Amino acid sequence: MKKPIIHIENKTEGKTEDNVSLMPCFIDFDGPAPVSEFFHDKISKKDDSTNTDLVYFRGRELNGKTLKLPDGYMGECVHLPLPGSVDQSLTGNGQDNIEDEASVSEEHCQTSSTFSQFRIWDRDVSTSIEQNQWYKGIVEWTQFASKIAYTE
Amino acid sequence: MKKNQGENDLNFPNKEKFVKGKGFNVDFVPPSIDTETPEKSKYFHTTIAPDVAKDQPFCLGVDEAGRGPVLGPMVYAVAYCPVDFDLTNFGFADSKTLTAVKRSQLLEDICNTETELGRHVGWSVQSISAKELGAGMLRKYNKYNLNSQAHDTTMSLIQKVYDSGIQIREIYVDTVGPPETYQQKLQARFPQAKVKVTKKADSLFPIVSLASICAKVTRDVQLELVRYLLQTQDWGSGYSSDARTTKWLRSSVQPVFGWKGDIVRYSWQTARDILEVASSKTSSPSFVDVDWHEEKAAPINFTARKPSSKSRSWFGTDFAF
Repeated sequence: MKKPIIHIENKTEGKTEDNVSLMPCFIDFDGPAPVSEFFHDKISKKDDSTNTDLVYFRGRELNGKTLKLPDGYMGECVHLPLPGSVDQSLTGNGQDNIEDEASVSEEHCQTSSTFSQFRIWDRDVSTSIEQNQWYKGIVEWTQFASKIAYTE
Repeated sequence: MKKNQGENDLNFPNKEKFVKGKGFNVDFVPPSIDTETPEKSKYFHTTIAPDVAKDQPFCLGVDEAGRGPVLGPMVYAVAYCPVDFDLTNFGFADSKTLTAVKRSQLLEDICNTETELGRHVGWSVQSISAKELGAGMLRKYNKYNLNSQAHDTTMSLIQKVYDSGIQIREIYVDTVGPPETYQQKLQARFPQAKVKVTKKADSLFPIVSLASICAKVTRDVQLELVRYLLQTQDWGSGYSSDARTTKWLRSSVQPVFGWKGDIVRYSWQTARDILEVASSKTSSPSFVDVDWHEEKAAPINFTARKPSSKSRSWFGTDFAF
């Protein structure tokens, strides 16, 4: 079965999300969780002069830095459908696509809010945020991409 | 001198929050406790009375409380008094034979600076929070182990007493591990004193028993204050061998984040079995796996469960845009 096509619908109505975090771990869970109580409300500043955020997740110390998205870029919070919960009636045709190898199923998702900055979290490392692979990915690659693909 | 058992005769900031008899099981709150945030690490020290000469020889005892439990702080304490001051008649027997109530009363006596005991004894504690202990052991790089932490804390506490002008000439230390290497290390660090590191030092030297009381009461009260502020059920002694403790851990765990109150040592195997190990017979039915991408993971049983491909590609490569 081919991978589905995702349609993203903008339903933000100007709503911004202030608490987006990129974690140095994979959390195998998609449901609701008390994130404010255990995480957002407990973020403090590190005790040095580096303006680094400090929080603990499952007892591990995490250091965080806020990264503003480059000019011209915007972040979107998208609700992805859970596997197996695709509503076929939302697709253009009324056919059952699952056994049909030739056609691709479509899924509709909604953007619920946007963000222009987010926090990158790392374990206890002595390197600065600029060395972080995701920081580099966003800052350096977007700069690089803009140089080689100039659009008018 | 017995205090009145009034409903609210405790004397410290925000004492209105703690009402004896309404689930708060503490008679005496020592000054080593931060009643606003009792779960945090804290250093506290007293001094001897100003008219007691500092330039006479002093003896100092070191002991700790709470090294083994999965809940709460590990507390290191030093206590000191003039070598000439006779400690034998105050009831500082082997601290392990004392009840919690008796220990609390003895610390209250020590804190009473109008008595001979209170005037001649100084003490300090360094309480290392559960959060700090766990985070140190769970660091990805430069893991901080318990023994190093213990030795560093002890030496720091002793040094601060020297810095305050006290002439310590005898140091007695209770130890769990082999005493010889630790004794050499301490003796080299403090050549001005005669250092004696031994097991069961709290039953051999009254000044160590005194330090032990300072550490134990501080830890007990810290733990009870946190429990009271969390409004949570009795969690026992905080040791994994205590059925009340493991019951509390299992029943109050939040599957993604763990436990409220910053009171659990996440590095302890008991906590990890409940929160992090899917196959463990004690793990929660709503277990959530978190992959920290550590090639050489600490003892986690991966053989019972195949690592999912999701954990290696969490950018959602299942979807095409």
